[in-house]
Amino acid sequence: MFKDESEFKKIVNRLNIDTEVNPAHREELRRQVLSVFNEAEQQPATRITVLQILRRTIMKSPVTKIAAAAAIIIALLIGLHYFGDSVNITSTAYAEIVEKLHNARTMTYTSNGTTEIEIAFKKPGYMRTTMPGDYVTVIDWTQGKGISTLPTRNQFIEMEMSNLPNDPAQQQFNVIEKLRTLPERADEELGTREIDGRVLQGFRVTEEDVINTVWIDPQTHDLVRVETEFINAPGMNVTMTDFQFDIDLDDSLFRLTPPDGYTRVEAQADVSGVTEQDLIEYLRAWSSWTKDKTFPPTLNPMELQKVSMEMEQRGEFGKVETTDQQRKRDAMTMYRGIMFLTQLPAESNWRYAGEDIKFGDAGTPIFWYRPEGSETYRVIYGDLSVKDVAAENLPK
Amino acid sequence: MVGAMAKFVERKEDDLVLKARTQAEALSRLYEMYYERIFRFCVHRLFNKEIAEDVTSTVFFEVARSIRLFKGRTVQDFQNWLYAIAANQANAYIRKNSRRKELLKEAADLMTAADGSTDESSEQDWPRLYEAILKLKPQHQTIVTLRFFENLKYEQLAQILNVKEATVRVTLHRILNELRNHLQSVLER
Repeated sequence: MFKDESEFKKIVNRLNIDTEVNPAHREELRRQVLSVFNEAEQQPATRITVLQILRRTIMKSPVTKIAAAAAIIIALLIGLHYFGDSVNITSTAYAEIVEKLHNARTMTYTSNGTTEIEIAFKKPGYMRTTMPGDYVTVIDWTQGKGISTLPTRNQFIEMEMSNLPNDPAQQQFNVIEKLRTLPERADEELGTREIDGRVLQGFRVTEEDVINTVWIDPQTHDLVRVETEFINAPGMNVTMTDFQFDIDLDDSLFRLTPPDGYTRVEAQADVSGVTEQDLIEYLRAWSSWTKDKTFPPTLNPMELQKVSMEMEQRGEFGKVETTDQQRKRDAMTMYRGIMFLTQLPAESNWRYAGEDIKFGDAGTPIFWYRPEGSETYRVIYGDLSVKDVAAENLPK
Repeated sequence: MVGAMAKFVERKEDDLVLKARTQAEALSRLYEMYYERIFRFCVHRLFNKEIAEDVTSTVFFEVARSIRLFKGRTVQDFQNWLYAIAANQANAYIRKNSRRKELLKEAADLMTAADGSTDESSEQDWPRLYEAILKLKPQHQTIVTLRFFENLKYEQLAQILNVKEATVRVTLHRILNELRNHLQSVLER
């Protein structure tokens, strides 16, 4: 029996372990490694490799698996819709872009929040998103059906989008809808600025709680970048880049059929009757997963994967013994909680202040919002109790 | 003089890391420098030379595919990156292959005191100790291998595992307690 580290070390040192290298393997592997390196050089530096690394990290933890599953569903529901009719335009570069957005038959771009998502659209209502971890989600809004593939587990999720709000514009974070309905005139011209080595012309459009800043190349009139800022939901902001319009996107990209050999995971994205209680249950679930019983640092669904992955790396989650069934239930809890947020109207003026607050802290407000038609706010405290509070008594 | 020479060599090696992103020759030299170390780590982690060769291959294929995206600039960064990949690949191998019992047997068969030491107790302890190590979480097994077989410093372990140095110290302390408790319970049976 060893007493301390040094004695343990002595035991190890006395072991006779054959680690002699086989020169033939060494030489053969060198040849193969260089061949792989040269092959990789032939291809553009894709983000696939990075995504594969991310995927492995993400899927290591039960909590991150839950977060990933919830993020997929949420990505669908706060996703983008099809394009509408064209409108009258002015002759400015900005107006040309508005027209392009309105009329595009297909469009692809990259959405850079804290999570990078590649997005492709095709009329009349097909959408494909590729998220870190190679999670591909295809949705057909005309049928209200979708499919997500989970490559690490060779599984797929088919979704029936029942009980979705009929008007996509009601979904606060429906980024593409905001793009699609950009007004034909900008509120403010920002002049030129150099961004990523290109001189771009900026236009700002403010609508209710959303500020869109559109950056256009004045030489080519290409749409280069759109920054979307949600005034009432800091942390939800996204930057969209790499726009391409009317490129050929094969129908096979939008098929609702899973790859061969994948097995089905049933899921129904039911957002009917989502209430404040769903958010509370989500907060309760999260605080039960963290070792120190703290609430999530953010409620931004797009940050779920990243935040949970970083927390996992820091060892901040406790041991989660979970079954697939429980994981699905947890993902749904998470998803319904966040859907409650996404359905809150801008005038609810919701705020989240739960970062670093531990479950049970009855004196600290962690979330508040004003229900429609109400003069007072609903405030959720650290013990997950709820009180009605006048606006003047809210935390500053 | 010796110090200046060491610094010069270090700088040359750091250049190698930067060059290896685009130059096969530089990657080849890094491969030469680190093949044995990674192979040895894999043997110490998996206790089977053939399996260790397979995992070593996987590690260097990953390096060849990803080095263009590698953000590190120094040999130390590169070494930490290599060990992180190797630790992940070894853990993945163990997860996918329920060969722990076989590994244990092979490991126990391999282990004899190298120096013919008269301290037979440590030799006799090893199979039990290794059995206890196999009961640890994969990351904890990795810590044991890196610390005791590869003789890495706490600082390096922290960088490889992407945690704070203090976390490594505390974790290792817990691991040793866990191993001791396991051995104690075995002896009391």
